[in-house]
Amino acid sequence: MEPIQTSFKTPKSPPFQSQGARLWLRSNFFSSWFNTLITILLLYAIVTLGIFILEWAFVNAVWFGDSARSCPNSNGACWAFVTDRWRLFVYGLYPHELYWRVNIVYILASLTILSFLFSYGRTTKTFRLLMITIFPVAAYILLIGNYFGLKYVSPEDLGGLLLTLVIASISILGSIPLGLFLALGRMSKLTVISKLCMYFIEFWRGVPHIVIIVMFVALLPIFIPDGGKIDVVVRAFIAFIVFNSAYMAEVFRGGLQSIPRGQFEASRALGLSYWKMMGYIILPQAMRNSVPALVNTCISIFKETTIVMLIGFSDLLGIIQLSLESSDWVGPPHIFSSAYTFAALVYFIFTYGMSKYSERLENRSNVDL
Amino acid sequence: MRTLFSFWRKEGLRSLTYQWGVVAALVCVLIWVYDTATTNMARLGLKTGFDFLNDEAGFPISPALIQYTPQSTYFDAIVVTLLNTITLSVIAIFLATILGFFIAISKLSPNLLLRKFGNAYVEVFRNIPLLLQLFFWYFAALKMLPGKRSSINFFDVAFLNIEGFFFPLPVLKDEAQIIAYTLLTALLTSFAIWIWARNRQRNTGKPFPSLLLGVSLVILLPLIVAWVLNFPIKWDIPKFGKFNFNGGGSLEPEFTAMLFGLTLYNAAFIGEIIRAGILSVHKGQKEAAVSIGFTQMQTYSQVVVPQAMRFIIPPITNQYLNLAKSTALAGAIGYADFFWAMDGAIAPQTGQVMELQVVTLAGYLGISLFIAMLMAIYNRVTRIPGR
Repeated sequence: MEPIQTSFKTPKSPPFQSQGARLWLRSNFFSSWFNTLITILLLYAIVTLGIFILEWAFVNAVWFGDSARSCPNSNGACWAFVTDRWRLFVYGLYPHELYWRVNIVYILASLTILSFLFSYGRTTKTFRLLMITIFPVAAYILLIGNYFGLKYVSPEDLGGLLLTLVIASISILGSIPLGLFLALGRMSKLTVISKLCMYFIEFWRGVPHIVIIVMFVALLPIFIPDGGKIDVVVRAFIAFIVFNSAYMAEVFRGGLQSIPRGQFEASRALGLSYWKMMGYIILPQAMRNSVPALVNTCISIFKETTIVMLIGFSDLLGIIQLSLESSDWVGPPHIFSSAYTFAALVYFIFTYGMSKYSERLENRSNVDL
Repeated sequence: MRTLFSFWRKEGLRSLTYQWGVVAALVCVLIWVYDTATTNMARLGLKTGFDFLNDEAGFPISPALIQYTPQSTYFDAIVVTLLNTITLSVIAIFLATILGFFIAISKLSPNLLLRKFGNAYVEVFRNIPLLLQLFFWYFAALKMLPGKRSSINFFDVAFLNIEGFFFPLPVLKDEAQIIAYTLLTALLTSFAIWIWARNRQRNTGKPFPSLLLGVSLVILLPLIVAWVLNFPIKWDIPKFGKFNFNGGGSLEPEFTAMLFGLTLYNAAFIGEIIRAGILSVHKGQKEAAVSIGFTQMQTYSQVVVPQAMRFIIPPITNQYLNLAKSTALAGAIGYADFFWAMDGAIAPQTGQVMELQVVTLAGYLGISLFIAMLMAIYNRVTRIPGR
């Protein structure tokens, strides 16, 4: 009898259920009777919902038409409303012959977004800085005109998606610097300044945005000499910048608080003044840390732009609501639901894109602003 | 030069100068603003003062939780609508927290399909503007309900139609007081039992099913008493009269739409907050609890949730504040909330924009402070000692 094993035994294959697709199915869908029940119920719900959406949005939908009468059946979407009015939704009341100016702004905006989406090697930073400085100036000149022989267009003619984007970009670009100063003030060692900044921030954060906007629109003429001459649109912009700067300040405060004390002490030890310390050492790191939260704030700013319709502006939601109540399209509720679905889709594309961007930034350890 | 500016090198003096400078500048700005405001208001002939609060309001408010008629004063109107705002906020906070809890659970579930479902819910409801969602519920979804004469009938006691949801209300007879007292006694007894059981478990380690006993006490005892008293509760059932439903209670579509919108929107955020809180508890804590023989239930209720709470409270407070603030959108779909009364009803009638603005700001700041204070107290009570 040979006591010693001279060859390796062939290993047994693992139990059937612990590998491959079967394991995946079992652990993800059928791990207990309760999970199996949930899987079956959800599958049923998803299939029913999917069929309903397919039928509603495609099979029974009406794609073209010129009034509510083109969509008589309530079991299908009324895309005719969108295809009939899309110019209004995209360009607002902007003069028809000047659409090319808006188109250039849209192209510039896409380029700016593109510059932040991808990395372009060494030129990335320059490219981004260039776009973020050129875009607001160019957009202003193109949209309002009055320079370089461009015909003047009143800010009140801006509308639809264009107005939504304009409000969002102005609020974001305006509130970032103001918010940064407020955050620095709140973190300051000077008690009076930090208390003042704190009260300022907490005040705006404690009041509904619509209240603030109404307040600025109604009361600015009283508090400022010649305030009545300030355009209503501009008053709303100021309101947006002011209250959003309070939210931005909290974002940057989070970023500043994430910097270890040693960084402050080391820069002081090197003899840097307060502004040099902030500018060269602290802020570059703090900004990087606050980018994900900043993008989240941008998402809520974008969503919040809808409230301007309550003071009579025709942003995307406002102009859709106006069109729904116009004599051509006033009709049964299924036209409303189609219109809102379209609006939701547009808003969703922007906000979901931004949230995915912020997720990508969070997952990347080294972020360049 | 050196002697003239050398004081500038002292940090204390320098910071004092900065701070007094800021204060002085602020005072100057405030005086200037006050001056402009008074001259402007005199020029525009605006009335000032709060005397208008005692004038007759003249507009109806529905729903009104306390006695209110169009003959009531502006002050009454403000109180009624403020109550509406608070009711809406409290109910929506309650419902959104429950729904958010279930979303958090489904996002943490081992079932892939359920996880994806939770994910989809959060992404959809979080990324669409609240105002759009409110419009959808009010102008599209609730308007699809049938008309008054073809209401959806729930067993002849509750009715749903385009004008709202009509349901029976209990009308209490005098004997019902006894039931209320029984309920109170049951609550107090179960609380006492809970304290006794907690102390005994702390001292001897012997557990006692106080929760089970308490719940059955609170449910069964009043039921038994009601049965003995032959159920002294009458139901006021809504009946379709000539034009409308009479009797019973009703939920207006405006309120329902607000509740739907606020709950579904905020539940997405609250779900994410709770999920992040539960995930923030270290895995070792759960494993340690299981290894000393805790059941799944005990692991969660005794170990995971108390620790997760510390992460959950601050962001959830923020979300509650956001919810309370966003009730100001109610006026857009015609629900009579505080801001609707101030901006939509009283301001156009009286023209006293300035005073109304002050009241509005004070009202909302008060609500915000109140919620923040409640949550701070809750945070202090549930804090893990020594941390």
